[in-house]
Amino acid sequence: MLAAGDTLALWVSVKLALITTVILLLLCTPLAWWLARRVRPGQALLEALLALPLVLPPTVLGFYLLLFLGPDGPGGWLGSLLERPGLAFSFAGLVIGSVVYSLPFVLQPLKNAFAAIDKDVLDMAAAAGAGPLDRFFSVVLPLARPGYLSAAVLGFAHTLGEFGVVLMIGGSIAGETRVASVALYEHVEAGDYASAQRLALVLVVLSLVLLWAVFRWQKKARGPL
Amino acid sequence: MSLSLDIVLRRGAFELSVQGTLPERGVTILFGESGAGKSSLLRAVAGLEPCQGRIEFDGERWQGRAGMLPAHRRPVGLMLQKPTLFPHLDVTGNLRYAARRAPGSAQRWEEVLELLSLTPLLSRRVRGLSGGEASRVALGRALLSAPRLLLLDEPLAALDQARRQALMEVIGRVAKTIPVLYVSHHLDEVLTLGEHLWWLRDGALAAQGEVNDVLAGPGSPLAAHRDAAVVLRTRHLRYEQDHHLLVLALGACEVRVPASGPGGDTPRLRVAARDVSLTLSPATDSSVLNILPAVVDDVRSLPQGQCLVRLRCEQQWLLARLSSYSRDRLGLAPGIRVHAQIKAAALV
Amino acid sequence: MFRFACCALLMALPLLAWPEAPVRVAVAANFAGPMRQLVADYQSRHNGAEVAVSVGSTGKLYAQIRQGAPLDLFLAADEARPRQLEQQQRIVAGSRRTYALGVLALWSREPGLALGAALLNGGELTPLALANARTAPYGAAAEAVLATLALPESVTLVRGENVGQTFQFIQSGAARAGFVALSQVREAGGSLWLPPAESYPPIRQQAVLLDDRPAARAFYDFLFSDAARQRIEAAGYRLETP
Repeated sequence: MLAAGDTLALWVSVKLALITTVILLLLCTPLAWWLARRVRPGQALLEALLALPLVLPPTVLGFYLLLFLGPDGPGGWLGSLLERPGLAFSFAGLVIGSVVYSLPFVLQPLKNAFAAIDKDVLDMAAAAGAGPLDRFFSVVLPLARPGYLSAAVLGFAHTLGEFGVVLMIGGSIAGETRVASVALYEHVEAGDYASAQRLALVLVVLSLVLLWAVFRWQKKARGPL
Repeated sequence: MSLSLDIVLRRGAFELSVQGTLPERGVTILFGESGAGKSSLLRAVAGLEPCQGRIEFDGERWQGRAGMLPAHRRPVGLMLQKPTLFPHLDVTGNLRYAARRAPGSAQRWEEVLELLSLTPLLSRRVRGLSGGEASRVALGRALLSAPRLLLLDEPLAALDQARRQALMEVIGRVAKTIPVLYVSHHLDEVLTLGEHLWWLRDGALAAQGEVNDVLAGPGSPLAAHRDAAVVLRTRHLRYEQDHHLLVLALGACEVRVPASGPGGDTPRLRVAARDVSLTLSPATDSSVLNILPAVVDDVRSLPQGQCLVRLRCEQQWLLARLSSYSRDRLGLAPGIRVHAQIKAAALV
Repeated sequence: MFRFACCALLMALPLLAWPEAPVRVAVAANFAGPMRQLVADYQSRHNGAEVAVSVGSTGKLYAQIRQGAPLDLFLAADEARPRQLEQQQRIVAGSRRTYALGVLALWSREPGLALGAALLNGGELTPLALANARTAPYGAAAEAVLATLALPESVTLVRGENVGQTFQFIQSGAARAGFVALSQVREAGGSLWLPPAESYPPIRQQAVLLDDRPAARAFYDFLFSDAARQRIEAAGYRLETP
């Protein structure tokens, strides 16, 4: 039913969104914790910087990422580890770009979830003999579960729908950097509206099913609390 | 001496400077007005609030130049004014949380469950618990962390009288084996539970020591209070069934208190200053049950024509609140021998 | 920058009295630069006549026109979309004309490279950027040039959605070289090679008139005047010999 290559593009999209979400959850957990628990000097500036992807047009962000990932930027050094000139036009580059682009969408829900945790509860855990890591896994994680769910859903959905950044740094290489949104755009640009509509339909249904499943699970998970 | 501290706590303009020691066991009430810094001090002892200075417990250095021992390494049991249970765990989960992390807590499990009647609550969710139930679980959790020092921050504040009584009894029992530092601004709790008193005022310990020494001492926190009182330590002698009277020994004297049955071995007797009147010669025709010989130690003027007389009676302090008119009429001054008529006394 | 210039232009226009509504022109991205000059020329001749320019990809502009976008003139980057519009009878009859022939250029920002078939076949120019053949006529032209060569497998081909994006790939250094429009890189420095015009199908950029009102017609006619043709040629395009 899908045009040739679109299934592959969908797979690249889903893979990119999954990997990006996992990286972002790992990355944002300490960052959100650090930002949520108390106010520090320079924090407002840092938060403003981290929120920039919300404000910058994706293509602008994409252009700077292109410079960053290219052989003259840090991406060149990173790429040299993988024996390639820069990380632009590679899946790894897309992951880096998506992480930057979707970061606020994962950071914010986590930060809010952490900030909502009563400090007294953590103090009681400490008094009961739980060290910092122990407290994190035994108290913070379970209490922040709805926040993690929102963060994961938003991060995944936002990466799945990402377009401007991928367009700028991807180079539309089938199986590597041509994601579903770019494939869809190409169909539209080429005037192949029939293929575009089929791919769009699959994307919409896929996202809908995913979000529906997650929200259903969230309702169930919230039950016993 | 179990806990010994010499610390300075700063919160903005507020500074708290405390030097104090806790006895080996028993309840020490940390008493003071709201905002005096009681909770901050307690949290500093628990390791939850940074401070400067030195904290030692049983010879271990909890805080000093080398840094501070983190809260989770201090063998304290903590209970706050609001029970603060883990909302994502049920009652069993909350209790296990502490028990799992405390060495040798397994054998205490049954004991604590029974002490606080927790068994029927085990499968309950935390959200559904009443205030009293939640407090019991919170105390149970504190006890299951195998504490060598129990820190309680107004643990009974949310409870009605009957439940307070029950929990105070449990705390009193625990205090027979370990020291308990108990934040309160309730005179009631001071008189019922307190063996020692730390009185916090103006950012420092204004007085510390045995509860009566502090209550009756110069600058007592309660001198001007209408409920000024002392607690007398007595020994059980016998119970007079006919008159429903408990006969107690206060040194060489006998004291009679109305009671519904024989009490414990060492009952504590609460005597309010306003319930004590003084005569120069012993009255033999009075309906007052207890008339004790005493020596005036100090007379202090209070506002509105009142005065507070501190008496020495069988090696213990007694307070009497009189009008300054009576003081002048009787010529009360330190060293005068008097007879204290105790109009009412209550077992605590 | 270009948008800013357009905005500034638009904001300056109301200062000059002109009785008619502005001529609304949609122009393919690769022709945006020359268009700006043409508009300036036109305005200096016609006492500040109002011309509102919107820039986009040919595919997008085409879709907008089909949905009834209020435009007077459409300068596409290809001939396919103007022809489709003609078939749909959305244009002023007989107004479909080639205003410029695109010139394909292989460009790298590194100076002193002997760009050409040899270097391409040697596999040194990687990643090699080109526009997507499905969406951009310069992409199709580039693919045609590549088909005449024997590019080794080791060369990574990266595709921009249009020549504008392809240019950015190269300019940022992310791609070593690539096929773009000569008009983009005429003054960009670096190294340049123009594949022979026979090696790719002509890139006919065609214009169509969508509304035959006098102001629109005047600007349309100006596009094919000698003065305009000189401008277009100077901007790096070829002209169709009439």
